[in-house]
Amino acid sequence: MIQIAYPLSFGEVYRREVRTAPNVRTILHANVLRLNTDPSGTSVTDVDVSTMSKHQWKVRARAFVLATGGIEVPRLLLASNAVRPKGIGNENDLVGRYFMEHIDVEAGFALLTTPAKALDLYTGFVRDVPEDRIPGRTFGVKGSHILAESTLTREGLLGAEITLAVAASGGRNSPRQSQGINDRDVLELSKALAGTRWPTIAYVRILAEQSPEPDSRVTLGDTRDALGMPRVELDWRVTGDQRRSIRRAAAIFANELGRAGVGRFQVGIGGTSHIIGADLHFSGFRVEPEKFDAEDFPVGVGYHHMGTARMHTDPQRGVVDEHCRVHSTTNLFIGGSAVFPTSGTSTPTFTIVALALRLADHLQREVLA
Amino acid sequence: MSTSRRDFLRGAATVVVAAAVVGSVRVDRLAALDRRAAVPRARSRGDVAKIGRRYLELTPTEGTRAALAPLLPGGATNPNGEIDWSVIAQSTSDEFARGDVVVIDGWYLARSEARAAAYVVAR
Repeated sequence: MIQIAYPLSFGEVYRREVRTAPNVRTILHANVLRLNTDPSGTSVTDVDVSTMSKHQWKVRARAFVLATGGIEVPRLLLASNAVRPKGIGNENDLVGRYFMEHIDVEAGFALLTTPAKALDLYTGFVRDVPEDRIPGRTFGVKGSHILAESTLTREGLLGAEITLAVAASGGRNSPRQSQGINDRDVLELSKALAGTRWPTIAYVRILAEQSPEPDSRVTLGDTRDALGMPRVELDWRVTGDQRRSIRRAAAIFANELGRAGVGRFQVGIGGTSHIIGADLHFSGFRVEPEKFDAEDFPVGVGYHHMGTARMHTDPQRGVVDEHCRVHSTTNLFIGGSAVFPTSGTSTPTFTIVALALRLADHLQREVLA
Repeated sequence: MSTSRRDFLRGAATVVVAAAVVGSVRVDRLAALDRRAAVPRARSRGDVAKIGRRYLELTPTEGTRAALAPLLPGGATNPNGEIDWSVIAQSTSDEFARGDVVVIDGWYLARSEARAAAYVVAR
């Protein structure tokens, strides 16, 4: 079960609270250009800040928390190279490496014995729950199928989260498929087996874990943006083992549906797609068995950028320590999913929140006291 | 940590959640299933025999009823050459459990249901 927050205007909902907080000062439109250190490179003294109209100034503090995401964190660390030529925290060539996403794969279609109405919990964000702290707002609750930890261990697999989008089977909800066995054929099989056509069709997506790979990385490019900052280049790698793990997850799900007697699954990795120009609902899908490609199927992303300033107690193996402090500095900390050493399958926000609260406690107790 | 700082961080985290959700909104949009089809088209009826023919293409060694009958669960066929699908239905779960599965155009089917479909079209 995953709780999902809907888009929220932070500036509207928390404006009064932020304005009146005695220990918070918010500066908008302020782009950090670089972190500056003392001559030894071990302590960050200030950061250079600029508006888009080039109004520039410095911000000084006793401690700094860089919380700009899995791409901008390495960008700022690598670009801050006045004292340490490789960039801050990059003594062991780790900053920017191990970039991970959640691989989003259109896995195919299933026919299910359960009516679609009974499955709405497994379809994404359709179940709204009142948000107590903000009257009138709701958040979503999402149910997913995941591979059991024992299965991952036994088969050496990466994690996989399987999500369904369901509708009544047959009719216009059938995906377009001109070749091979299609959902209508299997519906007739279900009628032969069970005396009735299974009532539900489900579009199946897999959101998969990526293993941390050093060659999957963020680096600085040769061009610069409007403020003179180097643009990033992303070399995102999806390995054969990661693809194998996704294929196996789909096969396990297909077998489990059959074993449990709740349906059949057409694994269509590589050959399941939206029809261009169609809206994203069932009549806008196409299944092309001739395009099924177990080795080189297209992948999407979860928009989760992770791992580029990974945590490890050993500076040879991680950019930050267990307190999210950049190893080679005394007062620079990283907040966010950049510190994740592995990516898991679930949305990363709750882990980010937990780490942020933990870091805030650490700063107050150990650093700023 | 002061209460205000903790709440501030929680609020900031909510913004991150919101950003994370944006990329997944298409699933939410999929819930709007009652809208008019964007690509209306005629639908042909399905056919169990089609499954049978595809199975026989993939497994030509089982191309006759004589070859298929002993491979089906006991009692699955009658003297009239008809399939008792209720017998097949009783065996599919066990077949999936032991991995006795055939994959046809991506569909994971229990071996006996694919064989039964083949039996329908075989001679």
